[in-house]
Amino acid sequence: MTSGVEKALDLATSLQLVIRLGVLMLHSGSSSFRVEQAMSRAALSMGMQRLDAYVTPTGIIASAYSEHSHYTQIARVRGLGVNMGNLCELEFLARHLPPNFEPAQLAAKLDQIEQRPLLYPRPLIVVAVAVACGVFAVIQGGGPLELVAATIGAGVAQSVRLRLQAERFNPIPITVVCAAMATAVSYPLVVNLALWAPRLGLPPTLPRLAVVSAVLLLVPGMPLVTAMLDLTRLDLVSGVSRGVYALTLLVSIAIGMLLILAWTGFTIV
Amino acid sequence: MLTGETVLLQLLLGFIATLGFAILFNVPHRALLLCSVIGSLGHTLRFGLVELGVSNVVATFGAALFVGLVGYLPARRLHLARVVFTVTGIISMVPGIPAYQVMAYFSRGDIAGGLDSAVKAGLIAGAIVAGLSTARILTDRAWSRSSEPLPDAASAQGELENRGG
Repeated sequence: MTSGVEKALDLATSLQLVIRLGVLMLHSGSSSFRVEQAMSRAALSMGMQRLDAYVTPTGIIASAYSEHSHYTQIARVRGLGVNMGNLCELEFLARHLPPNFEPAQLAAKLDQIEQRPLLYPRPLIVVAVAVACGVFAVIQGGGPLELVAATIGAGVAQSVRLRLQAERFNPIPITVVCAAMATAVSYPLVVNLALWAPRLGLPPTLPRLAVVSAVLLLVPGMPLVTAMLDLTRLDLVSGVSRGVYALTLLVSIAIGMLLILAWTGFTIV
Repeated sequence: MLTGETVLLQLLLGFIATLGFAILFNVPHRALLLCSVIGSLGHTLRFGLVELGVSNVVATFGAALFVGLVGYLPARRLHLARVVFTVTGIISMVPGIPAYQVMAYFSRGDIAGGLDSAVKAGLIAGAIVAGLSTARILTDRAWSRSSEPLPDAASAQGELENRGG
């Protein structure tokens, strides 16, 4: 038999863990409703009677209730990212906790997920994203020369981004720097490759296709879609803040490109 | 012209583009191939509709709706969040060129041109979002009912049926 005091402490510890689950889910890019759902599931499995969670992309407020006591805690969330592997693991974990789960077991599981390395080696990520951006140049109407220039520009931008993300830089300067790098590499490349176009029997190139495709890897697709999911669920605070976050990153891409275009006097409309 | 050859080429392009972004987003191994196939079909559907004379916005809406609906089944079967299939599936529809032109026009001082491109980019982004939202509302109780109760111990088992993310 545990005393009332111990039970109350248990409740506080359990709530802390449930909030940590929520914070990790936000870090992986989950929508607010899914986070609330997962936190409630985990809370019930750990023997709480009820959990009320208010989840926004920048912070979580949650109250846990048991028979004789209740606790409220706030967690600040910093660093919204995209990690679908972790997102799925965390959601699966919250769904499959057996009843009366021990807090220590959940803590161990969360540690394990948090420390898991990326599923794919870094060089593979760089190559895959670079080629995907190159292919976009073709999808948008370009030819093989635009493909080559966009691939190389995107590859440089992605390797720089991985390096800067490892140093935990703010996403806004990362996006500006990477957009500038992608532009600075892909624009001169496509213009020089264009000199070869007649000799190779290829049509003249459109430099903007190469440049636009090279920065495509920076477009915040996940926050945009998640913002929409939040808004559709009428989680308005979450939806608006996530949408503004995505918009800020889009503007950062434009600033990065403009820095190079204005500095070098490239013209590409 | 919609020939077998162009369709095959678009399928291939859509596949490679989606695969690259799926790897960037750290999609679990077991979903990687399926993600790319869904993205490839979505892209080709949009391309085909545009070639057949459907307006760009409507074609994008249709393709996003397709991606949202098709992503539903594998997400349930593989126990994965649905965003794994939807976010990667719509990546190839992102309006890159109009968005870029907004910036290019504004930087030249051409306000009217910039606004024109901004509206075009906004309409396409809106079409993607509306397509995915429609699919979500059609297939997920949590999104179609505004007062879906959060799971309690009794209904936790039943909730397993209702997967998504």
